[in-house]
Amino acid sequence: MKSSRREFLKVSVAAGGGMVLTLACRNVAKASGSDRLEESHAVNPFVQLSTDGTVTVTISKPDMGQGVRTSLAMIVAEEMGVDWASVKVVQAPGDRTVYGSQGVGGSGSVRGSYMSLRRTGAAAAIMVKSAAAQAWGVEASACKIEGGKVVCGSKSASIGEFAQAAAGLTPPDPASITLKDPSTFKIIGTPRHRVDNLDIVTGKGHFGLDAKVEGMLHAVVARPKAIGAKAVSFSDTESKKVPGFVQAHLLGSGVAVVAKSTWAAIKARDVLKVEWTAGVDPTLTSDSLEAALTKAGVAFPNVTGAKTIEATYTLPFLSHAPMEPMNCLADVRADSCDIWVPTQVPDGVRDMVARKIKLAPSSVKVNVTLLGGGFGRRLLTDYVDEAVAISQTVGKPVQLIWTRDDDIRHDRYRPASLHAMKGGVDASGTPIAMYHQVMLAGDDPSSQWKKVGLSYQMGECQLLESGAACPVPTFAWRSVENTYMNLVRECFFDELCAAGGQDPVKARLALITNNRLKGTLEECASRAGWGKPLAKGTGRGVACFAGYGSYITQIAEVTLREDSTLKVTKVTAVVDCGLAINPLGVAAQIEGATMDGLATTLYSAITLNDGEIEQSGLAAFGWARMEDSPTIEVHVISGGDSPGGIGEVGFPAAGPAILNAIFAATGQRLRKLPVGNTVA
Amino acid sequence: MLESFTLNVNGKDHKVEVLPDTPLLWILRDNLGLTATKYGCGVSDCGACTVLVDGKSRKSCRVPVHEIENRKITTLEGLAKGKLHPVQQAWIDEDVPQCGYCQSGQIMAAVSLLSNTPDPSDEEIDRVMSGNICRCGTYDRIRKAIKRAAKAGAGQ
Repeated sequence: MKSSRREFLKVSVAAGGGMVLTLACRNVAKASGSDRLEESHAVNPFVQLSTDGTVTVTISKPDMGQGVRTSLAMIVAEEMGVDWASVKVVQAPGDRTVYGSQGVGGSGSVRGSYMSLRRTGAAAAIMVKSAAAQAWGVEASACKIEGGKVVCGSKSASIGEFAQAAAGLTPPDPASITLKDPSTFKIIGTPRHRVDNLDIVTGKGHFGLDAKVEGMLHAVVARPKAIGAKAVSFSDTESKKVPGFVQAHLLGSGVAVVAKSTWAAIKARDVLKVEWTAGVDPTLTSDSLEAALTKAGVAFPNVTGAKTIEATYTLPFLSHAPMEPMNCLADVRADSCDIWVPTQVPDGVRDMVARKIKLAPSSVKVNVTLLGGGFGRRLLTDYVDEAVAISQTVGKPVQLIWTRDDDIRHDRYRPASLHAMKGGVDASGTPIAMYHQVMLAGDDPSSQWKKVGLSYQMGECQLLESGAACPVPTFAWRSVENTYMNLVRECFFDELCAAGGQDPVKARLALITNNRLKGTLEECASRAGWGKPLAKGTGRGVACFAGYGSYITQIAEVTLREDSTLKVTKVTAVVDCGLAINPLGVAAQIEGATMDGLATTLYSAITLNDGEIEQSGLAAFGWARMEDSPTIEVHVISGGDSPGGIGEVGFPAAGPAILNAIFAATGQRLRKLPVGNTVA
Repeated sequence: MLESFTLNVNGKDHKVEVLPDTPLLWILRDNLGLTATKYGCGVSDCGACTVLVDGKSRKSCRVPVHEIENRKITTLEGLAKGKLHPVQQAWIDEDVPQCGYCQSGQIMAAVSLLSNTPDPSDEEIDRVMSGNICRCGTYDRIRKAIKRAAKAGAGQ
């Protein structure tokens, strides 16, 4: 049975006047020649044109800093032909039946909605022009929209004047709509500030923890230190002495502590006495895990070549650690439920909550706030589940907050990994073989495994996978498997270059298989001054990455300072993400992901001892600060008329570029991450 | 026991009944509804809760309420006087925020830096601003924004 998507437009009159245009979609399953309607829902775009000319775009995707509230609205505004200043955005609540999939991850939001957003904007323009043509007694084809005005010969009026009339017209068939020629774009491809900037710099940005309802209580959860431990019983005798304490009760993940203020909840938790079961493996340490991973390795095949080398890389578990810790405000009532939550999956939250409390999804309202970071963590809904359970138990609205130690200790982590590498170069020094054994650690190593192709043409190249199951919960982390696969590949390729006496840029250019990736490498080498002399103790390193429909090369400069500390002084990035909707937003994502790459290469690690996560705060986990920040230059080059992904793209090559630069600066290959910022 | 305190926040006196060890952060957020000041760690690691106390930056998650009666507290909500503070304007002009969660603390730390050092060097920016973590990695734009604000006379 084949299914196909068919789009159609719906129009209605806006509350307060004007037009609301909705692009909807039917998924039609074709069975034995007859069409059968499976489901229909809107695909993201809801566009409202008010009578004052204001255009309001409903953004169905949450914004965690990736800038979709800006970029998605830009696409609609472009095809409508309106001024960017007249565009407003509103955030959609979680609702799969209206908005389809609302999840944000895999650098997919712009790629997934680009064409449907354009069609909606274009349809709105067509209807406004038709309304204007009727009013003026002219042909619609003679009308055009420029800067928010309908223009026909000497006639000109704000599009808002036709909003009401347009709402009474029949919308066009989306398939028949002719879209703008990209060479005429006035908004797409131009740098635009994030739409939320003014709110954020004045403190009006509304994040999850800023949600508030009348009569709301505050909750934290006492959680076990040992992985997999459960609460058996508790005593709240001391907690009861904390003014404002309301109650404590057992919860699947520990003991919920509810109070009238956040501080009272935290204090009451501090003095709560909990009896925990033993963890699932009290002997588990990072060293025992590394030994298990090493043991999981297999013998390499014979590697041909004039010279062969081997190396082992180890990468730690990583916490997502977004700045805004997990939180959720839940108000569960007998017949309905309201949720306020920073989530990457608004529709998933609604479905999960409805199932949990046995209500129809239509009785659950999921209000989506700004997200204080995501990085994959907010694809999980564990914290929503807890908030709902607590609100249900106490019968009041409850805001659950995970304190930072909860967040670091009870994440689902990027898997730890061990990589055994073997490769060879021929008599001329050209890399001709690379074998890559990946041993992943975590509660589900296979789910984190994906075959990742090599960007270089080499005679022998093979991936050998394995894993060590251990009770550490793991999950997707910004750029998922590419966080470790690309780092190790790009560093080991650098090792092969050194073994063969080859220049790392020239060797890559000779073997690179994708022309767009090659284009970023050539441009980046030129921009970064590759090959130009550097002061003693300073080195450059290069790394490339292709993925999510985009291509990037990063070149880092590292200086070994007199006190033996390393400083990444500069990173130059050249990215080809196809059509960059908002080059300023693209650059921001690459800058940020570069800092992610720097932090996780030098500082960040989650480690284990006695079956417990050892870190409980940001300082212990390790993050980059202002003093670590290099100058980051991002050059966005155009690679065609369709957008590629960008949120994850800046991460995978940043770390290896830095490690390769450390080698160039110091002669040392650092293969056990995090490497720290000092060298012996 | 709950005790009564009077706090001067953004030029206005507020009376609150709280535990005397309650950090200023939670009074601002839970009692006064001033949510621009963010919780990030509770242990002075991240700076998301940075406010000004008598013009100097303090991490409000570690300032107990009993320490700050009769002091002048400024939060991000009280920074703009009629028009945006030059630091706020610079943040917009450099398009600094990504997720935006830490930026309240970053802006307050920058205001404090510029009031002491109107034309800071890179090293001075590094030293003062390294108390504030940005998980999105906006540091390079923050640095540019501070220099822009300095040029606009933010520290004058």
